[in-house]
Amino acid sequence: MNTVLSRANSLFAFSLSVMAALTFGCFITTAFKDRRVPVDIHVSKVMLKNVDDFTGPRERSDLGFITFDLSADILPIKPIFDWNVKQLFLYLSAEYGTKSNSLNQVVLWDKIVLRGENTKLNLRDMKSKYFFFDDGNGLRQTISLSLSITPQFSLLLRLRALVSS
Amino acid sequence: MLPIFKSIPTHMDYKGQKLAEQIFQGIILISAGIGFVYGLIIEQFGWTVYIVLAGFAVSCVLTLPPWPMYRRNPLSWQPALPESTAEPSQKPQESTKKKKHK
Repeated sequence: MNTVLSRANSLFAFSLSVMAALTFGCFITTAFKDRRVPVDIHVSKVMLKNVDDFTGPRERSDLGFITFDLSADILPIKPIFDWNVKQLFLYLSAEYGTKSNSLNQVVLWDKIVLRGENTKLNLRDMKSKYFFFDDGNGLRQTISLSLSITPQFSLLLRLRALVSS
Repeated sequence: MLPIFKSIPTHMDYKGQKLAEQIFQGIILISAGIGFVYGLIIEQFGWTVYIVLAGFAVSCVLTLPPWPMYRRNPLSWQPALPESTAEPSQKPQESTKKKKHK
């Protein structure tokens, strides 16, 4: 501590350790919150085709086109945007079971909600963003849609699924 | 450029170094506590970081330059021996000292 450089070195290292402790404290205060949000999904039109699937083996697979309505209010009484959340990544996935696979999950649509943006979602007649291919020909059974919200923390990644419909 | 920087005195005495260390640790801890509580209240971690950085800057200004408050207890060195009277007996000691330093 007798030269400027050694003082600056110890000062900087101490500041970094204190910042690490603050970051851990921030994680501890928000890691165990319950973040469920009720949502309302309604499928308005389903169109199913059976076409050539060029991404996989050369067989004809099922291709589904889905248009749906979605309404959700993500900012209820307790806010979901606390200080540990940088943005929200929402995605809609269809889960179903077939003969060959017991559980399939296909992502149909996603959206990124940044901090400070509008948090009331009221979507009508949204088309699916991604192709809804099936491995075989099993899309004719009933599928259940589930909406999952992934908060992308600035400090920690956390996955949580909320189901409705 | 380097000789200019080396000629600026930057030393502190031992009690001054201890005081400087206590000062910067205290300032950074206090600003970290204030920043944590403030960020928790307004739900933004960016403000916590800003407050800690402000505390870091304040402690930089307070502890890096050698202010006179850190030089209040200087060490009392013994007076230097004049070399002309002790030349014949000190020459072999000086040569061994030089060997050790190098």
